Amino acid sequence: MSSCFAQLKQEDVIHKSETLSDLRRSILHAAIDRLMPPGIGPGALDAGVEGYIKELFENRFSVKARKRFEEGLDKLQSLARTHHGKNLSNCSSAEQDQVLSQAQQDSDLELRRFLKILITLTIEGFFSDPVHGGNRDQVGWQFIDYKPRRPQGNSR
Amino acid sequence: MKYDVLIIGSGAGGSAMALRLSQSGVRVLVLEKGPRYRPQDYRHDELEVVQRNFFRPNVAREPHILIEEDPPRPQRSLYGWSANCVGGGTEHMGGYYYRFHPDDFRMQSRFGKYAEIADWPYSYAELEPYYSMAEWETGVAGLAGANPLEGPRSKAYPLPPLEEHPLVKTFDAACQRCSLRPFPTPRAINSRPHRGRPVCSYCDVCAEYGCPTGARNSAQTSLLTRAEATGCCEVRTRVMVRQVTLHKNGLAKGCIYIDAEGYENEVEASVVCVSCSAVESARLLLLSKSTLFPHGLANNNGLVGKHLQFHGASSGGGFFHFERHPDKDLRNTHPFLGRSIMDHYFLPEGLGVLPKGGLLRFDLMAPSPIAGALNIAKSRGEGDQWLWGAALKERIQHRHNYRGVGFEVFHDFIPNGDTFLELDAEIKDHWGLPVVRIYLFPDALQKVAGTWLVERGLEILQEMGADSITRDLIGETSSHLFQGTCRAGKDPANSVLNEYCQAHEVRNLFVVDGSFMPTSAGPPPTLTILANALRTADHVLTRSQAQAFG
Repeated sequence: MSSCFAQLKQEDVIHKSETLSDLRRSILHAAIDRLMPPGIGPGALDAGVEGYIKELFENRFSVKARKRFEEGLDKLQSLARTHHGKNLSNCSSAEQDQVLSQAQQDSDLELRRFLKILITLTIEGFFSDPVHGGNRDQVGWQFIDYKPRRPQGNSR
Repeated sequence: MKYDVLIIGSGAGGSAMALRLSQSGVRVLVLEKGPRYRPQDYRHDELEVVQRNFFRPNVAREPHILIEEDPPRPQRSLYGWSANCVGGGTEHMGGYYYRFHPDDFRMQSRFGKYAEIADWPYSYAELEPYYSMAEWETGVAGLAGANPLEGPRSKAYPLPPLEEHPLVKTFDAACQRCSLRPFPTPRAINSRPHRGRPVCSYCDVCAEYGCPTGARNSAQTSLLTRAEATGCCEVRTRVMVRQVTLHKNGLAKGCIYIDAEGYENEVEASVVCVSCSAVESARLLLLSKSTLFPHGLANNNGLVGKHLQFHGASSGGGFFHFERHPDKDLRNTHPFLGRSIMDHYFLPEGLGVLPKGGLLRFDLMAPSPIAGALNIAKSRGEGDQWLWGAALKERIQHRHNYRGVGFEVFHDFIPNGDTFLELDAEIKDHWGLPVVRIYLFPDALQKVAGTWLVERGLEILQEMGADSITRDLIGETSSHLFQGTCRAGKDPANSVLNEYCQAHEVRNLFVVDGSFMPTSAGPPPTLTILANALRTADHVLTRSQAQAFG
């Protein structure tokens, strides 16, 4: 599902960096906050998931992947505007959840796919090694009581 | 400079050949498409290694085209890729080094004609000395005689079994109540220092990752670096071979490769060994068209690419609550349960016309925070929707009240006429070379075997007191354990290679990866690929001393 993003490798790095607009940042911010909300344990925003996704978008996504990602965010925004008359970031938590649920059941296959990609990236940012920019202070790992045990000793 | 032997591909088969030949003073050149990683390059980084497929290529640049439906819906796929680097798939393998059962070498004799099954051109007894050699050259930890279904062995394992999680007592007791005979899973991991590599440090993940200490061996660390140390073996990395070249007399001359800068080079050798994995070796032969071989090298009978097999794969698991289960050892974080069961290698009567079962391998589930959470998201939503939000977090946290014990079943892929590969007519890789198109249609019996075997595994977990069980894969196929494509046999009319993996049609051309295997057997193929390559190397040595290759 997320293969177009997850399989990015070194040679595919797009050198021309491009940033998400502030408006789209606000959509991303609101969406991942609901996909992995704070409550029992930290949420996506506490874990630095936003920075993780921002870095991917700017430095690892292909031009095509960036465009699809932006379209996905825009579609979430238009759902919020249609059903609640305001931007996603200004909706209440309950309204934001409604928008995400609607997106998941939308007739638009691309939108449904986008939501799965966003869930995947949120989980990755929450649970991956902090060297990738998410899982800040290992809060994701602490949430599941995971203490990595690294190999010791070397052959050379 | 002309080399004695050119080896294309540095995985299990190629590295075993390189070591055996260079130790006898044969001048060997090994060409490898991928880069060389050292143990210290490897990190236990789930995102980089598992989610982003560190070892396998990007299918946008190097696809295999997979067809699993009729009418065909071609998809770019990772099927048939194991690893593009020095050492090949052994760099990130689990290292489950089982021997095949003696009957795996005589499937047709034992079970009669069915689909495209065939006997191997040699017996277990003929391969046995090379099984022992492979175990000792690489370093395998196991317990000789513990597996009641193993064929006779001439030597014990070089290393004792790895240390085990205390839960193994509960496991063994449950097996005993079920009249099963578990044995320590033989692993290519040092249970004590071996050949200059350290003992396993029992960290938290293993299979799928590169080993940062070198305690789990790879074809590179256990074989190829020793070949290089002889002074007779040269390795060139990041070179893509696009064609095996021919002399006018029909003997192999060498190859043409494209180097990292994009330049073409030609090398010559007296003997050419192709060992790029079953899928890519067949592709290279098919790409090597000439007047003498218009359909690809050694392919005048049209069998290169046929009899392709993707190993049968089934799996399940059980979950044990930390507080509720009487076994307080559950919290111990030791990584290995290390048990296998071969009692179901043959199915009871009445289950199928080809009553071949499989081998069950049990282990503690390795921590995989990302994949674990993704699985919950994917499997716990409604319909095809994924779970998210507070409900996802609750589920994830709930899961971590349990220790998971999982098992995978390795079972046969029955070779059949519908599963094969050919060159794709349109799609090319980033070198501009046609890629393979894989047709994958497993025999219906694979589901029968998988269903029955998974239930047997679950019975053991329930006997151990699991709070819940899951059925994961039922009679599926493995994308990275694959064999066939250049079948070995005695009759040139229905095989590509002879019993020494020498092409019937080109006597100085050998294929020494999993391509030769007429049938898949149950266990993963790596140890058998190693043993067969060592056997082939001995044949090449005898023949080159007799100057049979000119």
